[in-house]
Amino acid sequence: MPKRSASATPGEENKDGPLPQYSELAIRTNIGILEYSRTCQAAASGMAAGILGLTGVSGFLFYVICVLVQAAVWELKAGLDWRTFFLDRTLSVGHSIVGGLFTYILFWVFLYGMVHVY
Amino acid sequence: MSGGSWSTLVRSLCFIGLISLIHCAYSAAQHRSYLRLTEQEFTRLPADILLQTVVSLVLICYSAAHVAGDFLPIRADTQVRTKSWDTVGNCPSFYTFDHRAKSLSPYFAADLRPQ
Repeated sequence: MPKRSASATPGEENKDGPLPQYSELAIRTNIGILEYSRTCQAAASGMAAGILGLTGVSGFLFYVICVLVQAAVWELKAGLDWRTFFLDRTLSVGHSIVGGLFTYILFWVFLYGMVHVY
Repeated sequence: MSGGSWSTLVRSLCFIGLISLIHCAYSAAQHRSYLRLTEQEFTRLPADILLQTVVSLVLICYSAAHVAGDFLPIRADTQVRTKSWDTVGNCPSFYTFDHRAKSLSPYFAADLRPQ
């Protein structure tokens, strides 16, 4: 059967036929999984940065590297078929990137204080 | 993959990664206090602590993504195409269990309504 476009706007018909339909439960579940694992990744990478004694720019660079690692993990989990599970292609890198940054900084500062200062 | 054993495996991997990371924190703190006692400069952590930190971080990232559950496919219309009507049209709360045996009940005559 023809592959339907996932970016059809409402009020238009695809040339293949009616508009695609999405399961809202599935969308919500998938975003919830991203959110959960983003928080875990931010916390764990913050702890690792504190343990390693990173300061300044190298700490933020480490966060970027961990975001890319997490994107790779998610792509693998989706079986390299991101569009089957998500509408937005950029979510694997960009989901909750600033929220994760705040969690990262929190754990980074806390662990750095615990390990290297006290 | 069997659901139960996969989820316990992934949870225990996450737990092991967390314990390993905490162990790295403790080792790093011990290393720092050793350097302070011997009055050496701190430049970097020993390679084994470094390696253990990185490995446990990757382990936690990977297992946390899998602990959260499986991705569900979002296209409702293409999913439905591969299923038979028996699967999709099955609605257990609409099952009816009406048949003639109720006429054997002693209260059946009382239930008869005038037409």
